Amino acid sequence: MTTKTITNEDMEPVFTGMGGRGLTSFIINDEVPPECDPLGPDNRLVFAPGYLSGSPLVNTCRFSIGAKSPLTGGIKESNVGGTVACDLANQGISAIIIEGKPGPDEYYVLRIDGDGKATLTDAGNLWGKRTYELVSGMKNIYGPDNSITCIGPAGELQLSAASVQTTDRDGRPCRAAGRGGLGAVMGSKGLKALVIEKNAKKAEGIKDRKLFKDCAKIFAKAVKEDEFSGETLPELGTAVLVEAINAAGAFPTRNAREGQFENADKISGETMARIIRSRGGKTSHKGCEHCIINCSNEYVDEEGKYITSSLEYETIWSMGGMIGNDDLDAIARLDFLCDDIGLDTISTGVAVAVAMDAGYKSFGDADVAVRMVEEVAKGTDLGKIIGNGPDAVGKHFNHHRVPTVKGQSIAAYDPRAIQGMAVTYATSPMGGDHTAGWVVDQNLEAFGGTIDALGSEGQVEASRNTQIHMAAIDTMGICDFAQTGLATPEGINNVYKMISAKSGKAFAEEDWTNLGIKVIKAELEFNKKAGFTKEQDRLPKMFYEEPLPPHNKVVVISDKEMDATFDF
Amino acid sequence: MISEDIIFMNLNVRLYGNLSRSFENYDSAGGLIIELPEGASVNDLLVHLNISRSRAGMVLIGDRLVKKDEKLCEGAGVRIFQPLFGG
Repeated sequence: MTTKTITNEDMEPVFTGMGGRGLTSFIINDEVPPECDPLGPDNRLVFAPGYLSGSPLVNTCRFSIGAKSPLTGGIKESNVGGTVACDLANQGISAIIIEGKPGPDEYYVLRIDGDGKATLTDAGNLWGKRTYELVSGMKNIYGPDNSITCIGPAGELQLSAASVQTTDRDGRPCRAAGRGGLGAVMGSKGLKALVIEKNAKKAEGIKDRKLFKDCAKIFAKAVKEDEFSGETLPELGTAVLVEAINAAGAFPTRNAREGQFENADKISGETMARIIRSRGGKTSHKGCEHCIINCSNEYVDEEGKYITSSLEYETIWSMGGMIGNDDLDAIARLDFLCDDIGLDTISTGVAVAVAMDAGYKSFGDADVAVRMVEEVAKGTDLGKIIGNGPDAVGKHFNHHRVPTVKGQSIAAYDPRAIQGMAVTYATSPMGGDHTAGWVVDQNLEAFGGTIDALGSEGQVEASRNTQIHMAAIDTMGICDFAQTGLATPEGINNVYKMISAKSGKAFAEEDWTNLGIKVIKAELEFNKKAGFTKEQDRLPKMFYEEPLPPHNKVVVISDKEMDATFDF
Repeated sequence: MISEDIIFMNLNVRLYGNLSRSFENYDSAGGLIIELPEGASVNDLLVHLNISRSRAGMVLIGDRLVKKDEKLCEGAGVRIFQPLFGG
């Protein structure tokens, strides 16, 4: 962006067979000086569809975005659905790397048309726009058949909780690569939006198409036949988790002072579905290209008017229980606001929770929460503090109950009630991150788990194995919820066959494990060079010192156990 | 007659996720009132409701997570959840 030049390069042979998180993390580790300013010219912003994106396999339209994070100071990969991953993959593009930095007051849109031609155009007139208005205006410029990946005011202000938003199948900028403040990196590059034309000539990148399609059919059948991905998610979305996690005493409430929210039933997936149905909204909606689960929804107001899409579990928690708010309509408005301003709903909700916990305002006041989030778009002092995430809020109010790891907030599973999540939050190279190693099912016996959720035994191994597995899943670009497709007699071997059918090279279990390890090793290596030590692989004191009702337990995983997670 | 000696107990059962779909007019606010013989277990309740073990993930009596061989008692409030997956 310094010289405003675009070059096309063939993929380096060392990256062959890579996509998604693997590709972004390898590029960042290879090309970004670890001690650089995340918002300076030396950082790079990498966009990469999953290795299987654009293939006949369902639920693989996942888009990884990587950079050095301004929120954590370490490496970051944040992935998102929508349509962009398929659109890029269909053009035969494996990655876009944005480097350098333009002069002050220079803003651009990067467009790639259906022939793969990339152009940078001035976006000075678009700077300052919120994402919904931006996308609506861009449709008039470029036509409707584009995926648009963009930032809102929070990204322009280079705030550390800024998201990168991307359009869903209906062209709304409601899918978020929320974590790690990558919107701020995009803002620092002066890049307002990435516009990719759809309907490009399909790239033919599969060596054995027949074998691939046969395996993909088996996978899709299993996703459809599984009750959770075939029926529950389409009907209730991820919000189905609210009542269950709350019942398990692991729903962090009022800045994680309690593990159960007394009004969880008012914000549950079951209640949400009832409200949406009664108002004529959509409980089931296809948000991402090539999806057969349809876990998305369209939440509407009493007049049936669109409020947001999609209202999901993590946001219902962060803008609900975490701030003591039981008003689902207000949660939906906060979700829309975050998408529109370009903010991570998790970090923003937790930032508001920390402010409330510090006594700035009362828990449960949804109107106050809305006003605080609006401040971010206005760029006021308070808005900048909220928009920089929970650590910034804690520092401002001199308040020490800040549930973050490496600067990034935990998600909607309290590590004191599900100890395996303590290991994932503490040790993931990404900082507090639930998707890096979701071991909730392994912790809750009733979900088939064999580990005592309140004890330490087996937690490190579970988290390690899941984190390695997820690093490979995120490299392939398979949607987390489509992992029910592994429940076939062939299991994950079916996926190995598809990887092999695409690449033309043998691929087996050890290749999968090695891939996951290689990705995590690269991420750990970057973080080490950036100055991270084992001391950063710890949770905040509140989790070790404050017993969480109703189980009244603290985190019991020792530092030694934490350090054994990635002892390779 | 032996059946005359059976004492029944009332249970208040709430179903989450998709589990309520098999029960027409399921009242989400009040749940189901189920009558079972005294001494029945969570497993017996699942059989009565025609919910297979694999479909019943987490079961709570009141606020307590219980195993499926747990005995039920008169007036118990039982909550049944599906197995979940997420992230």
